[in-house]
Amino acid sequence: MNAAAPAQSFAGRQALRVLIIDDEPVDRERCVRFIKQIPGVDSNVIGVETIAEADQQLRLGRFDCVITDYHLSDETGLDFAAKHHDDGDPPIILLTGNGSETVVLEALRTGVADYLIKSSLTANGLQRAIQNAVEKSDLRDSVRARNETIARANQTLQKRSNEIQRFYHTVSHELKTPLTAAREFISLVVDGVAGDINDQQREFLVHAVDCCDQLAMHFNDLVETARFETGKLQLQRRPGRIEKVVLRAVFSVSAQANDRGVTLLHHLPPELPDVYMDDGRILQVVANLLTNAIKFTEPGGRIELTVTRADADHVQVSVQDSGCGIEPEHLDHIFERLYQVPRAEEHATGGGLGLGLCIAKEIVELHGNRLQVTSKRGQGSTFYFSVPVAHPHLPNPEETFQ
Amino acid sequence: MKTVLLVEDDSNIALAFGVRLKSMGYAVFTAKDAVSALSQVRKCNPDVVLLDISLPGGDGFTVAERVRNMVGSAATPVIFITASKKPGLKERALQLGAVGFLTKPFDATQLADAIEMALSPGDNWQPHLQPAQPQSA
Repeated sequence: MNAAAPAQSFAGRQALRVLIIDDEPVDRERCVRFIKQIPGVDSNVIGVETIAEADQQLRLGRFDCVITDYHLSDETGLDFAAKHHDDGDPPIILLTGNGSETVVLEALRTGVADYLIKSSLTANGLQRAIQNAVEKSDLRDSVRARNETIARANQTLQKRSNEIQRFYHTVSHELKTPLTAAREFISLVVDGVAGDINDQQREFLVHAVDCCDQLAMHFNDLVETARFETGKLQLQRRPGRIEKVVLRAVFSVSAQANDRGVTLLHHLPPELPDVYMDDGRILQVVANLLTNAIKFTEPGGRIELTVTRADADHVQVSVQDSGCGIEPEHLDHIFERLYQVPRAEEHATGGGLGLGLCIAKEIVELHGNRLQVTSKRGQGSTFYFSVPVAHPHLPNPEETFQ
Repeated sequence: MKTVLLVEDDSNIALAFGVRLKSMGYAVFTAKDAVSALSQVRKCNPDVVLLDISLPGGDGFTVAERVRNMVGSAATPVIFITASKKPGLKERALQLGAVGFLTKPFDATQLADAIEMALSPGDNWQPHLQPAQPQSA
């Protein structure tokens, strides 16, 4: 006995359903015969004479393939193809009398799967055309199905991302409101609204206010990180003075530098052009770099903030510290979100959420530049970035709202 | 004495800034939701309204719109307060003719500046935005 023959199939199917549109009974019957001869598949062929009947058939059931003559009594085979080339429609093979170039070109443009010339039609040729058309159509279906799956997955991710963004907003809102109230209650006491307090009480309460401000900054970092992740951060850029921003940043951290016993110097050249920036954001970057520098510099150390005209189009800001420096293995990661460089002196992290540098980097990049660093172990680090010079002719769409 | 209506659903914010405003010499009225905000506007006819955007019973924008349509209160300056940094809020506030926009956490100085601005003649839009920025000297 022979071994069982492998299960046969045609274009991956056991059954084949074909619609033939041809008003010539002889031609139609010939096609039916050719299809019935296909081995290994159970063929079900329906023949109709007009496009109207064909439309009716397509409404009633599914076909694997449609074969249509070009010349028909009501419309042409191309008219039919033009109506039925949506996703999920069966592939269409056009039969032409003579293979005129215009018809063939039009056919391919309309999206028919193949065309065959009637006068030279063979069983083999028709079978091969059907096989190709069906396989190609199956492939398209599976690509489409996969695309739909990807689109759905993408939608889910988008939804999740929006949910996270909303969550950050809610958290931040819920935290900021009591924080604002707490800060104000303390400030009322500091300002003597609730009666006299002594100097030490005042000093302590001022520290408490500072703590509130720090907390507020962390909340903002959280929300901003979420906004970067979802691409929703927008700058409000306009021409401004970098000196002003730099001095505000220096002022804001000077108490911190004092407390740590670190000398903070700044060098500003006398003449600087206006730069095109979001001043609040650049202030945030400079303050962040200074805060980090203070954190990683030993008491007695020194931090220098330098502003220079880098070239015709850029002003550079650099923050150099005399701190412990950054090990090469950390250097590649310090701009990553949540990354924290261990503080050597106490083997603890430097504090903070590990978001600051990542946010600073994003802000500088939104200004069209890069935040860079050079560092040597034991010899301190220098962080630097450029801001574009404001050119008076630059359009400034954000200005309208300030 | 100028009158301030503080519309804020958080009772601590309302209390703390209420005390602050009184210490600055303003007469202070408060409201906790959209409905009482409107009745307070009618009753006390404030010189300026501080309006939290998120309120129970209708948001601050709706309240501002209604105030704009009230006889005798249409020109009352409104300062919005919000803890949200959602884009678009400031734009919406401007459309409604707000004269100020305070983002939590804000402090007494920013509040005082915003009210002063609101009460000064002319309607200079000055958004009091402070992304936790240090104050310059």
